[in-house]
Amino acid sequence: MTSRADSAKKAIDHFRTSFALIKKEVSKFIVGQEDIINDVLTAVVCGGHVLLEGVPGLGKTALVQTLAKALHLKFKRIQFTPDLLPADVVGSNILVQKGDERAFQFEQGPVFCNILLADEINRATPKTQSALLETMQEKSVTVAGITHALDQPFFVLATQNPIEQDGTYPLPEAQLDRFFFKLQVDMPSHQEFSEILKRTGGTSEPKISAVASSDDIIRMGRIVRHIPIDEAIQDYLVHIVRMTHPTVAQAPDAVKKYVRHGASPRAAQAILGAARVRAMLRGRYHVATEDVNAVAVPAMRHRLILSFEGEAEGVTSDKLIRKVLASSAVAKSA
Amino acid sequence: MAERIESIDRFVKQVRERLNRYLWLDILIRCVGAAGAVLILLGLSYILRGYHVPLFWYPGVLGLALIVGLGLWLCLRRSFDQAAQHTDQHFQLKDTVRSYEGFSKRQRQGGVYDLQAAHTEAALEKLSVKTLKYSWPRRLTIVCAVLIVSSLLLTLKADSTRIIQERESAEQVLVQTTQINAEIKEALEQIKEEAESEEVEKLIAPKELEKMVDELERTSDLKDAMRQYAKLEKQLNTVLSKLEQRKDEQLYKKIGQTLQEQDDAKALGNKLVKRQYKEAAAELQKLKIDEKSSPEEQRKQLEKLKSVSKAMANEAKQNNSASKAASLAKNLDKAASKLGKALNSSSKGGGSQAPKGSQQGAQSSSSSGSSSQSASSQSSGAQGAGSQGSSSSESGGSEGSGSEGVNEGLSQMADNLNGLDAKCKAQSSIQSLCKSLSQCQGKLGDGSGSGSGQGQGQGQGQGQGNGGGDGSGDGGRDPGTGSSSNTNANINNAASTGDKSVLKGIKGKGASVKTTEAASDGSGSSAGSNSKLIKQYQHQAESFIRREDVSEAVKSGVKEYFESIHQNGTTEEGN
Repeated sequence: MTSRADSAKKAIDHFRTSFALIKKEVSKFIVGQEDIINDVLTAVVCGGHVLLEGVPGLGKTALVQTLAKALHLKFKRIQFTPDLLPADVVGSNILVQKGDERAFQFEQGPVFCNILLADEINRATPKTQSALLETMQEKSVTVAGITHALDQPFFVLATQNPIEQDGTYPLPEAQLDRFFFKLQVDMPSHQEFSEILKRTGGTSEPKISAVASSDDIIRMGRIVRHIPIDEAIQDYLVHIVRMTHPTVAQAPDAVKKYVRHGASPRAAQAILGAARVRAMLRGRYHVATEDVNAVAVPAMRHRLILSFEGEAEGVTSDKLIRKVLASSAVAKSA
Repeated sequence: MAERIESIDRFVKQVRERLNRYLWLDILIRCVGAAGAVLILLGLSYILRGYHVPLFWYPGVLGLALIVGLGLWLCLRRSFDQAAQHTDQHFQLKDTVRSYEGFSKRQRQGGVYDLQAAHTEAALEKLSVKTLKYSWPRRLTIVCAVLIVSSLLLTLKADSTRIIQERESAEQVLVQTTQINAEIKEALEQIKEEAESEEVEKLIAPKELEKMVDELERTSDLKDAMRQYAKLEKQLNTVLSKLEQRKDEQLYKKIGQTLQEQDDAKALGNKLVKRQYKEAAAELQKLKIDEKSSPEEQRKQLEKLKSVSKAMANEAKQNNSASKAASLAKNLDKAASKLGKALNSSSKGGGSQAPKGSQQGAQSSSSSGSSSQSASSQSSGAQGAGSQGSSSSESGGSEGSGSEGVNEGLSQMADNLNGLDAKCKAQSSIQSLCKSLSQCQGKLGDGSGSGSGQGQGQGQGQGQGNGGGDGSGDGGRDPGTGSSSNTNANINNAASTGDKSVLKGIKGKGASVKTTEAASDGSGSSAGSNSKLIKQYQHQAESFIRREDVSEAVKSGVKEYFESIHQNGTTEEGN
């Protein structure tokens, strides 16, 4: 084995170890939700943002806080409300007295952190929501013509309540597309419930210690990009993303009927990154079809815009994506 | 090309070999099954038609199935990439081998690619190709075996009785056609030999007939055989119609009847009535005037000749016949008259030129008036200029030249009789050939075992009255009925006297009723040509009905049609 291979092996081993450590640390406080932790960590490693959807009390905020502690990253939280202004998010210029002179000075908003928890993001007005667009994509903030770069790494972990829809503003497609994953946090099982009570009902809470740094996260992100993907599998990835578009002739009938807009190329990028992470975590050095299939649902579910007919009939994007995967698997085997 | 790991390649190759082997087995089973199904269908197609299933189909169809299977296998053989993909699927390697193949092809190496290759190698090391087993399609195999065994069982079924009979009949037809062809050839040779005159030979066109006979084939197909014989029969009928000399025959018959009443020419009359034309020609030759004999003898001979020629001319006039015989009879009479006049005049001291004039008149076959006038004028001139003192030799010479015309006329008539005789013989031979052809067709019809019991009779109304009826009702349940229409049946012929006789079929268990109908007693020319034509068509149609696979409804329709026509025809004739 060559030295390059040795170093690659070391880097990948380090990735796996770090990932496992972070996961273990987060799991000290968060009971169950293993997939959610995995997916959140995957998104973080890939430098993506995560939209967590679930009813209140399932530990969404706790997960983000725990993760920030475990990663030893600067964490901030914004509770989105209808009266929240963009300046409250990104910061604003304020007039300050500097000696004899008064001057405008940029006062950083809460986005200037490593992990931003945008709690109940759909409660803010679209104007405020769109204040996050630049921060999420460019990882910078432009106020009064001056662009301020955010700290690296920067992740937005947003939450939204799927039940309470009164007084909410659905996220625009452009913003949704900027989320790496949309994860649905489900109710814990009976055992998990009991465990939650055990851990949180006592006098002491589990102590979360930092097991990784921001540099580790950045390094892990770089390693991910080295995992190769065979062209045939990459073709498959592109195929399934294209199949979510109703305009594509080979798309399943359900997609043609219920989907207004399919997944964007960002979805393909997200799938590729997540699949690489998954492949590495499973001890492989290449991306497999199985990895692509496994991450396709969280990476595309928020990127599929359903038609009126789809909305009316209660069709979920998850079902449609699974149909796409099923039809693509048949086509592939044929 | 990146350095490939041999163990991975070897493993994938082994997988590929196994897959191709299994694919071959799969295809083979399916092809054998398909062959079994095809064989069953083939077998059923034979059995339902009553045949025994021939065994040659089995190696043929199975061989074809193998070839098709091989072709399919060559088309569907797994490639190396497909084998790699199958390896991943079978051993649940999650695209490991496939990715390795992809990276190797694109010469990706170093770093993670090396790790991937090592990982692939390590993964395959633990695996054994032997675990890749062929999943035997038991149900399909059983179905295939059942199909093949069933198809083999079908071969045990023998030919049906009908088929055996058909085959025997075909063999019989083959033998019969061979025999018939030989017989026909022989008969044709005989006809050729018997064709005495060129005229007859020209009418018969033996080369054409010979060609047709040569074209006759040995065949086991009854329809073919019947068709070719029908064609030949048609041709023979055409020849027969060319040989028709009915008018001459009628005239000679009447002349014969008249001459029978004369003592001097009774023999000639008998011959003519009996249609012994050659003998009659010889008798005529006897009537020639001997030029070397004395004038008295010549006169006697002339008297005898004149009575004959007179009778002939009278009959020719009475019959108003335009035949050659009538023309010859008239000419002869004229020549005889002129010779008589010449002889009379010479005896009275007439000129020596008179017989010459009569000779010229006799020689004029067209009996033109101008010629005779000129002859008479010359004759009268000769009479005027004639001298009593002419020498006997001159007189004899002049009488000899006058008698030449008479003799010439007699010779022409004798030739005509000889020709008629030759034609009659040829006609008779061809008619007998036709008859034997009909009989052969009848035999063939019998041989086929599908005898309808319908007799077929044909009477040639050409004075021969030769009703060649054949009852091809062998094996038929009903007696065969043959009908024949003889036109112009007033000809004195035993077989065409209008008698109704019952003729038995050739092999007939069922009797063939032959009815020979008398034609209306006419002026000598046939009044039933239309009826004859209809009869010919009927005959052809009946032959067709017997030979082709025509439905019963059509058959009966055609029969009824011709029966109605025939009835109309006979009614008209009767009227």
